[in-house]
Amino acid sequence: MLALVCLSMSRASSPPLADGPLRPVGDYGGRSITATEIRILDVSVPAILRIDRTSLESSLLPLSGADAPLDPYGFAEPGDGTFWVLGGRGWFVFRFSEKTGELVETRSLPDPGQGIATLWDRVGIVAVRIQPGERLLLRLEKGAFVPFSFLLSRPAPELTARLIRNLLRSGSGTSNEIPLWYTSGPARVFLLGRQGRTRSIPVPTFATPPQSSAHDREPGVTFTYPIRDALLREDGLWILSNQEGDRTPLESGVSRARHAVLLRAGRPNRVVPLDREARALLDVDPRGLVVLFADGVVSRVALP
Amino acid sequence: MNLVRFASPRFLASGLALASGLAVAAPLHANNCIQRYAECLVRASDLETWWQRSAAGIDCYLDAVACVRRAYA
Repeated sequence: MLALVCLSMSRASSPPLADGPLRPVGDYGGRSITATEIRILDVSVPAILRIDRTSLESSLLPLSGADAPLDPYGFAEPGDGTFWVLGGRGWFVFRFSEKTGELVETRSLPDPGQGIATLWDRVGIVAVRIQPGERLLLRLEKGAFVPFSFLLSRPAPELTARLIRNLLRSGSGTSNEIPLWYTSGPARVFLLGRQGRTRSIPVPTFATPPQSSAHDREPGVTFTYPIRDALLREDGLWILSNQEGDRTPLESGVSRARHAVLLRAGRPNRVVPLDREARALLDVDPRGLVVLFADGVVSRVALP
Repeated sequence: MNLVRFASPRFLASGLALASGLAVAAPLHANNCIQRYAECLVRASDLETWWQRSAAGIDCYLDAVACVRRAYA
């Protein structure tokens, strides 16, 4: 008990920002990019890791005060001076001060979320859906989350398949569009516009569809999982592969997330092989692609 | 904390749908996320009242979402 008290006091009295060399990310929970920083939610601390885009030097902003575990479902920064983070398996939204990391507000959600993101100057939530044909993406308007875009939950023959089919994720966008994709299914990215419209873009995949009959296989193995991350820049769309080959991410011997691909209109795709499994594409500049690897290390990968 | 009190009626009704067909939701040889989900639903279906089954069904589903999201995403 004494040790716990000491730990608590030590944590509370430490400064919110601790400058230093770039530390590994424990449990990646999402990211954002500002003009000067890459920000990563690490729910294992929990904290926001702030990385200088030029030097890759970092500082840590611990998030404190939430009374439920934070979910690694992304975070939003709508410009109100707070980070919005889901917690309690999507039942709550916690708002933390961008300056101190302290809890500012807790909100409960009528429909739990599976993801949260900044939709330009607003907060967007990807809702958990059980039934098919329901709007997946919600946006905060006048204090309430209302449907935004016509992306719908997709049907599937049974519950577990329905669950897997309706995991929707979002990546880093531009001032005009934000990339979204279903975790399972065809290799396709939906670019969400500011008015809620989407345009669908097929992307290259390194995944091979399962060979045997769906009736013979486990629910999660009947799908493919082509995309792990997407980073939209003005000059093109970067994709991080997920499943590579015919083994899905939970099968033994799987190879995943070993390639980043840049898609540009009217030009051939640019493929960047990665020397180990990656988790997210954080940034890109003329010096290279800033990658979060699955081992928690952030580093810049030179472009071939 | 009773999280179900926050849930919308529509979402709660979906929870009952989960808790009614549950025992056959997934084969037990499936991967850990799905196996745990199936076992959770079996336990939920044994509960006494509609509210309990619905709440437990939703909890099972959200646990599975968290597990699968972490595994596949």
